[in-house]
Amino acid sequence: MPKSLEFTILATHNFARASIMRLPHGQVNTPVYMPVGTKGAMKGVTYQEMEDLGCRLLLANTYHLAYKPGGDLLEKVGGLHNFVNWKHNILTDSGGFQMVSMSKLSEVTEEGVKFESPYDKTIMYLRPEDSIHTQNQIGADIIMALDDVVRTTTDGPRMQEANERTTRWLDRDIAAHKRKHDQNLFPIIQGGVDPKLREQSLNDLIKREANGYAIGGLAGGEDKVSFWKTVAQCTAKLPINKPRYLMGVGYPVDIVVCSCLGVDMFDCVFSTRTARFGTAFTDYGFLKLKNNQTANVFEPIQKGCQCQACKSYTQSYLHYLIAKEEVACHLISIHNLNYLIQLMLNLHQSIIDGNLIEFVNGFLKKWYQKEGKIPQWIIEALDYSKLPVQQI
Amino acid sequence: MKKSPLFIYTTRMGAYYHLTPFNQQSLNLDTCLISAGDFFHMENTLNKLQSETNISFRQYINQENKTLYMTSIDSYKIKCVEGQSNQDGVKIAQLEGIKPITNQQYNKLARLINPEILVSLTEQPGMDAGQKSMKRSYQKSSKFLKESLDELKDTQISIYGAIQGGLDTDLKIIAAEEQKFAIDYPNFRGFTLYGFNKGSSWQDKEDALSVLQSIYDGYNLSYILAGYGDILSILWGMSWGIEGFEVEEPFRFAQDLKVILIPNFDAKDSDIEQFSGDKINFYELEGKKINYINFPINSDVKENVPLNPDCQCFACKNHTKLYISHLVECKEMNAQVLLTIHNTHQYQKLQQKLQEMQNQKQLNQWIRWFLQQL
Repeated sequence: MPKSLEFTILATHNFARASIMRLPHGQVNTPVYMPVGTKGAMKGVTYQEMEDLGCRLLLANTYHLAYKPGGDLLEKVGGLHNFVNWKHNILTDSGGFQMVSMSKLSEVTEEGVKFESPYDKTIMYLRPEDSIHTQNQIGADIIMALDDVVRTTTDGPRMQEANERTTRWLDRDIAAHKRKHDQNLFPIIQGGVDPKLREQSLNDLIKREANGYAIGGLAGGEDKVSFWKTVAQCTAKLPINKPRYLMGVGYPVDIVVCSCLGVDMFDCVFSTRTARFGTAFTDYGFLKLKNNQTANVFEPIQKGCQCQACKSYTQSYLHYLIAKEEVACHLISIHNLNYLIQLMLNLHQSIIDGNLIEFVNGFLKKWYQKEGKIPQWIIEALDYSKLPVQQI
Repeated sequence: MKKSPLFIYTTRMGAYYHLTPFNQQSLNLDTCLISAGDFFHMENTLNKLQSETNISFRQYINQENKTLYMTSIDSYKIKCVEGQSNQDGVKIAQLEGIKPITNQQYNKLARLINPEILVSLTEQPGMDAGQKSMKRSYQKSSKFLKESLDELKDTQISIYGAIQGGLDTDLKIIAAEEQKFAIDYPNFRGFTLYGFNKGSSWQDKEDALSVLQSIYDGYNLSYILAGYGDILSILWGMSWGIEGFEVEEPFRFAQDLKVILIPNFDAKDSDIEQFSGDKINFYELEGKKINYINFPINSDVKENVPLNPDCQCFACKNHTKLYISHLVECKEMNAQVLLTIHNTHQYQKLQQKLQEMQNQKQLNQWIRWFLQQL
C-alpha cells in the first residue's frame, strides 16, 4: 500500500529546503502557503479559481464544519473533497484554536474542552476523540492533533500544563485515528516562547511516529526575536525528512524568513481577510486600494502579475469598485492568494537553482524600500540561517 | 441594434454582480448596462484616463467587445432618479447620495464612456405623481433628448428616448408625442420604455404599449423595455415587437438566494405548430409564474445533486444543491457567485431559443407552448 505522505527533498540551502510532498490527492511543492477555506469555501473565490492559481493544498476548519454541515453528512457524501468538489489536497485543523478563541465560555479539563457554541449558545464538549472522529469524517489528507491551546504569551504553570496535556491528548488522538492509511496526523509542538517547554514538547512529540509535525502556539503577539528563535529551535530538532508546518503564519516577510529557517508549510487568513478591506500584497509592501492615491493609478496592482485582477484591471478601477461591488474583494483576494502562492513557488525554485541568497535579498530590498531599513530581527534570523542579507 | 432579442445585463460600476473574469468565461455575456450615477463621482479620473493614457473606458472596466448601454435609471438601486424643478437636469443617486446633475454633464459623461447606446436623461415621476409632475417629466425628457441628439451628433452613439408616463394610456400618448421630433435625427434609434413594472396587470401593459406603437406606426424604431427583465415580461415584449430588455433578474434572484427554475425550452415542431402565431394576449399571461428554489434547503444527503441535472452551467456541472445550501447557511459569498452563474445561464438559453424561434418565424407559437408549461 502506498504511503499516505512521501516527502522528498530536492535541494537545500542550509536549513531551507525545496521539496515535494506527495499526498493522497497529489503532489505539492514546498515551501507552500496554504489558503484557508474555513467553512468549505474561499470567500468569493471558487475552488476552480483556486486550482487555476496553482493551489494544491488548502485548509478547512473542523470546528465550523462539525457544526455545518456536520461530520455525519460529510461522511455520507464521501468527505469534504466530494462535498466541495476539490480534487487536490486538504488539511483540517483540530478545532482547538477556534474553540478557545471564538467561544465566550471555554473550560479545559483533562477530558477535553467544554465550550459555548458561538452559533447557538449550546454547551458543547470537544475531546481528542471527537476531533479526530470528525476529521476522519471530513476526510482531509492531513489532520491535526487536538492540542491544549493557550495564548503564546502565557507563562508559568498553565503553559507547562498545556504542554504536557497536549502530549497526553496526542496519544488519545493517535488511538482514535481510524484512517492512518490515507490521513496524516500531525502533532503540534507547543511550549510558547519558553525554550525549555519547547524542548520538552519537541522531545515528547518526536517520539511518536508521525509523518509530519506542526509548530503551534506562535503568531499570538510575541516579539519577533522570540518568534524566530522559537521557530529555529523547532526546525533544528524536528526530523529532517518530514515536513514542518508553522501554524497561523502568513505575512509575506514571515513566510520567507521562516522558509529559510526550515519551515515547509504555512497558513493564514490574513491574505483574504485583508483583501476584503481593500489591501493588496505587492513586492513593495501592502497597497491600500481604498486610499485616494490609487484613484488615478492606471496600472495593475503589481506589474507582471498574472492573476485575474492584474491582467484585467487597474488600481484605479479597483479603488472605485471596492465601494460598489463585492467582486472587487474577490479580485483582490485572488491577487493576494496568487502573490503568496507564487512567492513560495519562486522561493522553492530559487533553492533548487542555488540562488536563494539573491532571491531573499531582492525580496527584502523591495519590501522594505519605503521604510529604508530591514528590521534587525530579520537580519539576525537570516544570519542564523547562513543567509547574508545586505541592509538597505 | 445588434441582434434581437438584446438582453442588456446590469452592472455595478461596469462589473457584473459577483462575477470575476474567470467565472464569466462560461457565460459569454456580451452587453453591459452602465448606470450613469455610478460614474459621476469619478469624472476627473475618466478625464485623466482619456487624456493621459491609451486605455479606453471599455478596457478600464474590462468590458471590451461588449455592447455598452448607458442610462440614468437602473433597476438595482431603490431610487435612481429624482425630479427637481430646475429644467436643466435631475437628481441622480450617486456614491455619495442623490445629487443634481445637468443634462450637459450627462452628455459629457457619455462622451467619456462612449457607449453604443445612450438612453437620454429622463425625469422619473414618482408613483403618486400629480399632473404637474408628470407634465414636467415629459417636457424635460423631451428637452433632454433633443439636447443629446444635437450635442452628440458627431459621435457614433445611438440615442434612445425615454418614455415615461406609467401605464396611463393618455399620459403615454403625451409622452410619446413630445418626443416625435426625434424621428428626423440620424442618430436616433428608438425608445426605452419605463413604467411597465411587475405588479401591473398585463392588460394595462398591453394597452399602454399598443397606444405607443400606434403613434410610431410605420417608423423604423426599436424599443427596449426597462426594468428587471423578468422572463414573462420578456416573452410578452418579444411577442409585441420589443427587441431589447434590461436584465437584472438573474442577479436579483441570486442576491435573494433564489434559483430560477425554467421549464423545458426544447419543443418539437409538432408541439408548437398547433398554436397560433398571433401576438400573445394579456389573458394568456395571467396567473403564470416562473418557479424558483429558495435557499437554504433541508440538509439532506438526497439533495447532493445538481440544481438541475440537465443544466450545463458551471454551477450545475461542478456543485450540488446541498453544497450551495451549506454556503447560504454559512453566509458565504460563493453562494451568490454560483447562483448568479446558474440564473444567468438560464437567461442565455432563453435568449438563444427566442432568437432561434424568431428566425424560424415561430416565436409566438413557441411562446404559447412554453407558457402552457407554467
